[in-house]
Amino acid sequence: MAQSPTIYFICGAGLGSSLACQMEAEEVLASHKIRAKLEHESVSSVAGLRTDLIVSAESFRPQIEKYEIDPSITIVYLHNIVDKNEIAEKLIPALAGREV
Amino acid sequence: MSASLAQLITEDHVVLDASAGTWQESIRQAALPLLRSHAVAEEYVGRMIDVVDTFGPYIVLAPAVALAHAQPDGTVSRTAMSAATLPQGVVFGNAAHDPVRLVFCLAAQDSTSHLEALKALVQIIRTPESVERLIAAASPQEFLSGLVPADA
Repeated sequence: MAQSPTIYFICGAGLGSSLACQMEAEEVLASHKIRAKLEHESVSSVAGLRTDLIVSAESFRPQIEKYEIDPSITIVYLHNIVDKNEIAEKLIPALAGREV
Repeated sequence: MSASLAQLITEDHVVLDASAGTWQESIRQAALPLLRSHAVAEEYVGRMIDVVDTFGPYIVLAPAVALAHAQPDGTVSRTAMSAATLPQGVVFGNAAHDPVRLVFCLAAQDSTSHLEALKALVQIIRTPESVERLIAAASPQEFLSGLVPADA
């Protein structure tokens, strides 16, 4: 039986912007009736992270791309991490095929 | 137990009409009340600046609004927030949202004590009229009343 996908929200400290982004995504997912397990972490924890998706800001792309990340993980970069439209536009297609 | 926005930003944590020539200075100005009330150690202010130096101006979450924060690692003695208005604006290098005229500082002692407050803050800063109301506040009381959610 398939499980809900896990999504990690990543920012520099792992407790401010990532959390703000997670809260916006939570509402986006709820409005699309998608269930997922949401977590947040700092960018320094990205290496070795076990998750289905990573969501972060464009400004973290260089840092995140330096790490060896499991190729099965989809990474979504956002220009505005609290913009629900951008979150929906990028996150929903990325979740396609992973949801229960 | 998660504190509300009003519990974390008290009147003495609001700096009105600050002016700063650089974004670093704007974070220092906004963080002053946190230092004065001993919520954070001096080192934490430097950490908030380091985050932007290292990762870029992603802390500018919405037009005109920055949320400075860092990992506490022993430099935060209690969860608190402060805010500074900078009517003249300061450039963070975030082309989409510059100039910044409202800087919040978040000092979180752990990863959950500020959840409720952050949620309320996000609701406010994505509404441009609410942001303008905060920037135009003439007194700390007026600023705090602008932090009360419209539907409350």
